[in-house]
Amino acid sequence: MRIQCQIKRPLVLTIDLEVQGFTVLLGPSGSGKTTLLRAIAGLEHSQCIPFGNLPPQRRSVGYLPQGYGLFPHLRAWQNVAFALRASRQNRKKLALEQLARVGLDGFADQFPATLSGGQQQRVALARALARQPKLLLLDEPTSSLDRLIRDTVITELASLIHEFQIPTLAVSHDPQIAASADRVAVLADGKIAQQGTAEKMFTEPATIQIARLVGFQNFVSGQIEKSSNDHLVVRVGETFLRTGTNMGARAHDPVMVAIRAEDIRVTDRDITDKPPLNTFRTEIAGLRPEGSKIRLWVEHPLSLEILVPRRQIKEAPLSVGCPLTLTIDPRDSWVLPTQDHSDGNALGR
Amino acid sequence: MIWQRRTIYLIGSLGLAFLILPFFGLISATNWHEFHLVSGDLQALMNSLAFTGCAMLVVMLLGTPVAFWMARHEFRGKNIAEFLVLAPLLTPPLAMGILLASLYGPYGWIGQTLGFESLSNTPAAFVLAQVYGSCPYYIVTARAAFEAVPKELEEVALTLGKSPWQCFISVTLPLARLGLAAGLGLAWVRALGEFGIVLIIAYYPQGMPVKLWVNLQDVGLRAVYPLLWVFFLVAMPIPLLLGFISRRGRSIKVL
Repeated sequence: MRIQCQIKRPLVLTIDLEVQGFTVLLGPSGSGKTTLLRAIAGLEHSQCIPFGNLPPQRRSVGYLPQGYGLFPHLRAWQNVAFALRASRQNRKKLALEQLARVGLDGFADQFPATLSGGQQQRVALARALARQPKLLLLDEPTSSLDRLIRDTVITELASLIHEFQIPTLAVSHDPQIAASADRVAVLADGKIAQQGTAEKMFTEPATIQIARLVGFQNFVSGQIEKSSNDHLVVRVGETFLRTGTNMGARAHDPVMVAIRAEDIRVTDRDITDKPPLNTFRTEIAGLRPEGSKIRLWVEHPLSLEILVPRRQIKEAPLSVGCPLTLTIDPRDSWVLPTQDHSDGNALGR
Repeated sequence: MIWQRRTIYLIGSLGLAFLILPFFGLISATNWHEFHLVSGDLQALMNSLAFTGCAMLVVMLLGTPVAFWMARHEFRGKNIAEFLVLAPLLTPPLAMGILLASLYGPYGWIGQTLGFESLSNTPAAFVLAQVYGSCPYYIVTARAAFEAVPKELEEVALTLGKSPWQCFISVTLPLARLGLAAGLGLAWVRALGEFGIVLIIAYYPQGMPVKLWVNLQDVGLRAVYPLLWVFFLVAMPIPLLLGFISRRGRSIKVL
């Protein structure tokens, strides 16, 4: 489903977006994600194709706000039945069927406050789907879930959406949820900056800003030294970095090399006389444990942030100043043009 | 910390005692050997109950839209509208009575326009006086109750295919019911006890407050206390009942 939207207030947005299967729209907070969803649902004044100027109650759109908007005075099944047009007995029967489809048959008589975040979300989903909408809108579907269950809920959500086969647009600032999407789009500066399959968006972001949103933490500034069909060599200060290709990159172009923190491999072994490709000897400049992982910072020869599983470096003495060897797979780095006026802070961390 | 808590406890208790002192006075002042109503007291009771009931109906029908409008809409001059809602409350009751008399009474322009002579001393005037005296209390409380209902829930109801009216009935009203009941209870007590406005525009038919005044003038204190007891027994239970009913099923926690 193609959605085109013109919004003037509360902020100016010009949107042309393709929604297929489970589509996630990423954008920094304040970029207008919620406004766009509200406009599509008819809750903000806008010009939207395909819904035109219809009032919200006449658009076949299911809308789940942040926190899901369940009616606290109604039981789970009554929440679902709210949108159903049927006789009294039929309404309950249909509502229970709908709850069963999202796996909540046993919770029909509970009030929303007694359900967990994930269960509330599924009740809200069942309620929105009861009206058989042509499009489903989810506002930050993971924001009110705690970290532990978030991943499970995202997976379940994605599989429910595929099961019901209703095009779904979820907005979020969480790259994690985009990872289970079919399509990903990025909203920046009032328009869709890039959209495409999740795979393409995660591996080939068009700008530094988009790269940040899809989870790249490291941006190393350099200049293309050599360009060939299957790889590039980028000079970063005194060092050379071999990277994957990017169409249109030419020798001597100033570029940014984007690398994910978790894609950098770490060992404590010293390097022999001839260092292998993209391998650097460095020392730890800072570190912070994060559960089963450790986040490290190094300064020379490249300034990088690294997220490494604890067991991978079990033997290594870990403290500031300890020597370390890094390897970056050329396929895990992505070269971007430096002209990214939208994000002036891209160079430094 | 302990002495701080004790001081607050002590001062609080003293304040409360001061407030309820007159009611203990009533118990001791009542002459229990000669406890009987005087003629007309029962009629006054009936008048009060019936007219206050009517007044509450008008207050709800008139006040609910005003309260909802103020809670949900931003418009130019909202501050002024807020002040105007409070105007009958800020006006001394006697003055309000005079204003009503000059509007609805003999030679009042409303009567002249609509073709009736005067509403003074009719049941309609009685109800009118009560409405003016109690409606602001209801509107202020109901507005707060509506504001406490998340707007998002009304919007979700819209996206689920309900008309704005259906949203109001099935989402807003049930979620605001506690505050609305409190507002209605407050308005009931105010209307039942309204004296100043009623005295000017509806001396007849007599309700309890005016009858209390008449008893005091014609018979004396001994005719006042029994009616006062009736007044308390009638005025108090209804708001308490409203509170009780709206609190039942309150185990539903609002998210």
